[in-house]
Amino acid sequence: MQRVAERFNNDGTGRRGNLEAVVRAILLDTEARSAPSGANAGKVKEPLLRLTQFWRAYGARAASGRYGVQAGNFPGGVSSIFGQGPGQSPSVFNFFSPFYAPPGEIANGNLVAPELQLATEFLNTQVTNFFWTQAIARTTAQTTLGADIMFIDTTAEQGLAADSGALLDRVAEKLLGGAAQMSATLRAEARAQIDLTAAGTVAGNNTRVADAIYFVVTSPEFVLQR
Amino acid sequence: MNRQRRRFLRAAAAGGVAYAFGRTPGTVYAQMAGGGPFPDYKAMVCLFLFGGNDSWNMLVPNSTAEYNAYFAARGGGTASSLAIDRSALLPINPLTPDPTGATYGLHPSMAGMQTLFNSGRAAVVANVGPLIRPTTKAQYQNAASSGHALPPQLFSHNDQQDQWHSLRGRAIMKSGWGGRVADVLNAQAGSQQLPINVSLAGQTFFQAGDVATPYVMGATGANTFAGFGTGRVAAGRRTAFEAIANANYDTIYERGFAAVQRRAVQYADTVNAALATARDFAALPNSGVQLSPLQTQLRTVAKMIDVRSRLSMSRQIFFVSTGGFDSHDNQNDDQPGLLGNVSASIASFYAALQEMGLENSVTLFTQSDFGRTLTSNGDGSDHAWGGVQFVVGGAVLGQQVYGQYPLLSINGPDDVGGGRIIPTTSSDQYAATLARWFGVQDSNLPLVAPSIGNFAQRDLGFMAG
Repeated sequence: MQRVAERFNNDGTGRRGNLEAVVRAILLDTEARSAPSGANAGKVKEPLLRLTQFWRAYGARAASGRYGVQAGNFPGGVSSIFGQGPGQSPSVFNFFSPFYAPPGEIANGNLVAPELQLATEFLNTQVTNFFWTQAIARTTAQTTLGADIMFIDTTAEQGLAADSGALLDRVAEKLLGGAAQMSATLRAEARAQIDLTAAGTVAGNNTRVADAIYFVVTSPEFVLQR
Repeated sequence: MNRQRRRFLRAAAAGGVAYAFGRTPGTVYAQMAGGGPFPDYKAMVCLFLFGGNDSWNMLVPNSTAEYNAYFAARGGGTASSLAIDRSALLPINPLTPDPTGATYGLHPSMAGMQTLFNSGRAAVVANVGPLIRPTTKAQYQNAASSGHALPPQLFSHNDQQDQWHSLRGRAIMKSGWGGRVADVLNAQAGSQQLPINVSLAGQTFFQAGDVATPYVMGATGANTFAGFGTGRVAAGRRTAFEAIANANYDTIYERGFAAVQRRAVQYADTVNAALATARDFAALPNSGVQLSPLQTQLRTVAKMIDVRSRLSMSRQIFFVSTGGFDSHDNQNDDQPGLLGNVSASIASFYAALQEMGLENSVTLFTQSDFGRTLTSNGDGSDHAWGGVQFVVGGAVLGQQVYGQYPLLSINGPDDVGGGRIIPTTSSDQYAATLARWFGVQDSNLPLVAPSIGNFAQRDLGFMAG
């Protein structure tokens, strides 16, 4: 705040209120440019932002051109699945408390993880299941979806379906910022699971692609915003 | 395929582990020797009325002088009146009549609660709310200069919900009193298959322990995983999911999230398999009757209680909730439905307990953000402080009004402005009374209710034994 405020007061040439200099100071600040590290670095992505990031990465769309939150995409309503929905906060206090800390090391460290208030066993499993349905049954590989059903573009993944390693590299690039970002455990477990299904058939390829996407999008490492 | 699998290891439920947070380091929660495994089953059900229940219309003065004060304070006779007609009140008959001769009646929509009260199965705790120490009107007014300790951010929804949940007063605390009861009793509860705290209404501060972690299920049961199954591929999916959830992660946030995934997998099948064996209650049937969302939660609580042996449970704290009580507008139109639902839901839950013969083992109690102003804002009431709560169950020494019902008059002895009534009983006393019945030893009550030492009466006496 201080560094940016100083830039506002003086853009380096003695001018005050130079918007370009202020924006530059924000975007190029050391805090913005260096990756945080350590056990407390980052934050948890709230459920709806996991979805929007995933949808953006996978070019999600509906045949009708609508981006709907209607029942076809969210049975029971988006809030009932994700614990939050656009414009659906139950009160002015929004979807979770800024003070929430789960019992254990986060609370003991006098830290908070507000977004984890929505990561209940109940809600998070609904979100996990939503992603499974999306990956297995709502992609470009399906041909009989309703006009308003949001589907993801898995054309590239279908082309890599026979090679579980290459398939996971592709998904990691889309969701984790590169293949090198994927942990060894996630890669090994997801790869072994993918290879339980033989490639080569439409159904087989579909399952292999779905498993690759499912395990990355539901992984703790995808949930972490660094 | 050489897939290494880690076994589930859940350290969080282990008793006797003490973390220091806002406490003296080294505090050990497990009760001292002498507290062997519980021979009996007990459950508490916290019913939270979100929004701040206008409970001065839930239990209303019914004797002439007291009703007249209430009527005037609530704008009776004006277009913006919030007063309930005296003739419509449902009278209650306490075993010990008020020595002043004052009598009370319930809101006309609460016939179920009237029956429970007058048959001794329910008690009322009058004018209870967050306090750090007993507080008079003068002490409240001079608090800024005298330093008299008051709960912070009075009249604010989230802060006062947090006060009720946590009883933290002015301390920094990340646990709730239900969670701390679990911390204290975990060792004695033995090898339960589920945590002591189970929520059917989301993650709350109330159930978070300093050590113990609650389990959050849905209103009708646990969620199962759509991609998991018994075939080779579907079974592999579960195995892989568990392995990823069990992996080591560098950040506390990944670890916190992975822990939720582990618990979700671990408990889902157990809970649903057990629930499938629960009875179909006549009072809260599986089909044929339209249940309110609160009744649906309470039906599942009753089922969970019904299958307690299957899950090896000896102590359980359930959290259920219903909302809509923030009646700034349309109070007169909305209150009958809100309070009627509370009354009918509690009555049907009590009847379900009777079907199991467990009415003496289960106690339901209410909490709410705060009471509301006596004055009308034209169409409703605003945020205040003290209010009335119900305690229901066979172990409740019912048909009594505990605590002191205040004189409801503007600028009266307990009014700090606009008809905001100072509580004369603290939430700590309310919680300590329940915790003591539940099995928390006297010496451990301050762990549950940190300000209890500031009050002369540690047990309000509304619970048997």
